[in-house]
Amino acid sequence: MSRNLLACLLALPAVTACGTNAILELELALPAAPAEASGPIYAFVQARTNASFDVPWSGAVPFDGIPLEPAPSQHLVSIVAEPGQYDDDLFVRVSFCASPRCDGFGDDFAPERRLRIEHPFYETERTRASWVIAEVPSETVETPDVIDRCSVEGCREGTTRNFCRLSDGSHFCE
Amino acid sequence: MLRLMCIATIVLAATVPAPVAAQERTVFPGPGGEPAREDLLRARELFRRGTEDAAAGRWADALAAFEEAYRLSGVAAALFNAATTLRSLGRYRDARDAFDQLLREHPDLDGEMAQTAPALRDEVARRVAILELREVPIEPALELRLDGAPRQDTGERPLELEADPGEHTLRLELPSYEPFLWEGRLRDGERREVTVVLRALPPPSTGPNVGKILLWTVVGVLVAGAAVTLGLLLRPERLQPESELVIDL
Repeated sequence: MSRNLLACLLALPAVTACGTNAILELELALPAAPAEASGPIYAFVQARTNASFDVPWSGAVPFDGIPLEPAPSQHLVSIVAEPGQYDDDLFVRVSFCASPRCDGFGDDFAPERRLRIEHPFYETERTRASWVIAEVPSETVETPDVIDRCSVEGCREGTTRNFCRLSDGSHFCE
Repeated sequence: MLRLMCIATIVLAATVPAPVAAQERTVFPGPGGEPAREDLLRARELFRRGTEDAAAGRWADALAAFEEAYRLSGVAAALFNAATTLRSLGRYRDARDAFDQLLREHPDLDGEMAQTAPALRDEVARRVAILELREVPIEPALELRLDGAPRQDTGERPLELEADPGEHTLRLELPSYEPFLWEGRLRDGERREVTVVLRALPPPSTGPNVGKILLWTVVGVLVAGAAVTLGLLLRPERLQPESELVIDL
């Protein structure tokens, strides 16, 4: 009996935890379409944890690339993490492609910008980060931009740009 | 990768010999000889359908189509696409085996496939996790199951079991001993040591008390039901994305 009861009690936190998630709202500033472009250019956004920029990323494409406009534009991308991913860094790549799903002629060699965000997810918390891409690169910028852990916004109101506690360096969402 | 699949479509006209069987590795069967013309036509249709499924993220359907296309035709492009689809599904062991079979049985790969396949093979191989079992006795009657599927005891010690990243359950059984259970999550490329402790079963009692077993079973079910209900009631709300542009990791 005690074994049965123990198993049930152990199952309780599992049941309560399996519904949680964490979201990073990434504010993405995209550049204007180059005047000399011969056709539309799409910013094709992908995000992964446990990834490497050295290889192409396969997998389902959640949405079409964002068409660049004549002027710079702002977009919000919600990146949803599940249990098991909260301790991971996030890798984001934006490819500038000729087709919405980045599978058109020549898109194999589409230039891209890369971003690594340190520990952006905290269970049941919504965090934010901003990334500005000022211009469409002529070729892939292999060195990723980095948003450090303490620059990931969340769990604290106000104007601070540092979201880690001064006392022990932990994030306010921890 | 979808671009490669599109490129590979062009290749679907040639034929190749049947694959060689391998131990402890997933083998993707080919036609076993010269494929018939109708089989090649059917394979081409399956390949086209698989490419569409992959483009739409229907990976399981895509995999079935590519595997069947390869079985009918033996064309390297179909096996390559099966391998990349397995990679997308997170089945890195099978993906590695498919790439190995591709490189072994199709040494004349050309173009982008020839450049990409070895790199992808190495990438997925690095992501295979290993469960290193220590203190496992060498016994012919030993039964191993990982996630319910039987695994062969190679006789080597420590005993190593490959697994894809994720949650796993190991069950090890030996007559006269309590089953050994292990549950855990393996990360990409992780090597996890697990020490197996086998406890001898107590001598058999005079006979089971059916009434007592039934009573405790009923009580156990009731408590479990209450726990699950309470858990569901206490479950926190999931956050909702603020944007329509959502990436689920």
